[in-house]
Amino acid sequence: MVLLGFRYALRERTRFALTAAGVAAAVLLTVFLVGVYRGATRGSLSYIEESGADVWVGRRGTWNLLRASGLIPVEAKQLLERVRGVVSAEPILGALIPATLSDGRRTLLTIGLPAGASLSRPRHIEAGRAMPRRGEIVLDRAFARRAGLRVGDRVELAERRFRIAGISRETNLLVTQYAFLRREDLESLLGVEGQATFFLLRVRHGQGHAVVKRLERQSNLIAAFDRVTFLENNRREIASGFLPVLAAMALIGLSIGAAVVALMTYTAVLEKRGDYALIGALGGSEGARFLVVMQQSLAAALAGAVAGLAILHVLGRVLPAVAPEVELVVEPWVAAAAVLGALAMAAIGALIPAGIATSVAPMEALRR
Amino acid sequence: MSACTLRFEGVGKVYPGAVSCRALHDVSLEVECGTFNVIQGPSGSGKTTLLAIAGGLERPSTGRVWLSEREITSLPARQLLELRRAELAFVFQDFKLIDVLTAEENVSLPLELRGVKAGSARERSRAMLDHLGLGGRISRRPRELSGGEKQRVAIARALVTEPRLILADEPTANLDWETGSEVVELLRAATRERGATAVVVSHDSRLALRADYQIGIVDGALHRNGSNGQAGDGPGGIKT
Repeated sequence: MVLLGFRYALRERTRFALTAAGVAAAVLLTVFLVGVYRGATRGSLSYIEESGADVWVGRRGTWNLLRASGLIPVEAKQLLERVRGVVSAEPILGALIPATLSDGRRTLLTIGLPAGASLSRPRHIEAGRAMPRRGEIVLDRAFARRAGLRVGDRVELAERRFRIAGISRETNLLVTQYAFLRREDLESLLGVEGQATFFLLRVRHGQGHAVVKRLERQSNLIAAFDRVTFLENNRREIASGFLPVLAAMALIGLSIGAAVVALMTYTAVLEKRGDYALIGALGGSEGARFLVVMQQSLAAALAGAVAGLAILHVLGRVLPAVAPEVELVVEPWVAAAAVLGALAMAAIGALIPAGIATSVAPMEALRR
Repeated sequence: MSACTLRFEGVGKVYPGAVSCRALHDVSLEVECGTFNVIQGPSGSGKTTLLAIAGGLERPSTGRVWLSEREITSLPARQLLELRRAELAFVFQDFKLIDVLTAEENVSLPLELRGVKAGSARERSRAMLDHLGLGGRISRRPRELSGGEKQRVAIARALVTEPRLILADEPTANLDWETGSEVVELLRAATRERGATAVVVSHDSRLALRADYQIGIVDGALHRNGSNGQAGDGPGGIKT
């Protein structure tokens, strides 16, 4: 059948544009939030995932990288390396340290690296070196951009100045960023000595789970996690803060989008009430009239979703300059899901108007 | 009774409301195949209600209606729709063309609503428009057509489904005298060529003059007008 609904939609260009704009705003809001969440998750997990560590060991009570709940003496390295299946153990010290910038203070998730660190150094380096020397620091790209810092510049952490040795990528957690010092430097900032928050273990192939069990049996002072579990713990930490807000905002966005579609489609149906009666009088079933209404809202939703994604694409290009901390990660499946979500939203929004169109009596075609 | 006969038997219609309105009262009539029939009456006399009941768009409050030997009064909605698709077509006073569609698309719409493939529907609608002298107007939208052309497109839309009964509601009311006469002739020719039956309600005296049979309706009740050369209750045509 001729795509009558699409014709109606395109004929009333202002209404079509307004409906599409409502859908675009809903899609933009939702995909933007999902993109920020995915960006923060990637920033948080990439460091753990790509470290090459098979097992993470922390003080008992610790369950992810952001919430280390105590310290372990670095001498434990020898004990850990004696455990069956363990190949090497690398201690790191982690702490949230404020950096002083010209426009105020910002907190960095600072990792103190041991000399010759192989597992714990940042993996993606945009400029300079991955491994800092004493008195040096490796900063995240977003933090450096926000502060206007480059390799060779100096930055103040807890009233001590460090020379920037490198700029890293995929180390941005949105609310904070990773920074990497030598462990000795971080110990001196914290006023501790010979301490670690985590040990990163390399184990023999396929021994991760067994090593975790052995470590837990040998000491009740430590918590050990295989890589998958530790990643999941960190993902949950990000999600617990982010997902409720994301879900609420997405729901609000989709509800507003559906309301816009419903309102616009409703007025379109009222204006064309005579046509729906005519279609009935010409032999059109209720289903045919339902489809005509659905076509109108789906056309607007499709246009709106595409417009929303296009705006997001532009935003993704502009964002690093204006808000470098906000890293958008929009995978193709997220974009596809957004389009499908917009179509579903439009279909839901069009249900009441479609119900009205199908209930118009064909007899009305005879009324003047 | 022939296969395309329309028959009313004691049909009444009351619209309920704070003050109920009796639109038709005890109407009995029989319309036979291949005839051009005109029902005349003043505004509010029940002409349109009669047409709507004949076309299965309204159900009567009392009485029974037969269309092509099927009693349609109590048919379920789905079967009524199928019957309308198979047997009926409407022509409306104000053309009722869909303004976002071209003339060709307007004519092919009822075919496509009946499940005819788009290509075949377009071909048939082009042939019908050509037959009615609108071959050069197939891509025009209603706003680009004159009143007479619009009504011819509406007649093409009615004829393209090859209905056995054409129900027309004041088809000349919005047209000037000359154009109205052309439309009347077109409807007459269509019934003659295709063996279809036409029931036309109208104020227009030109229609009554060209009708095979005519009948008057006042205050929802029929009264005999006779016919053009035949008795109103004679064989064929409208019998009351």
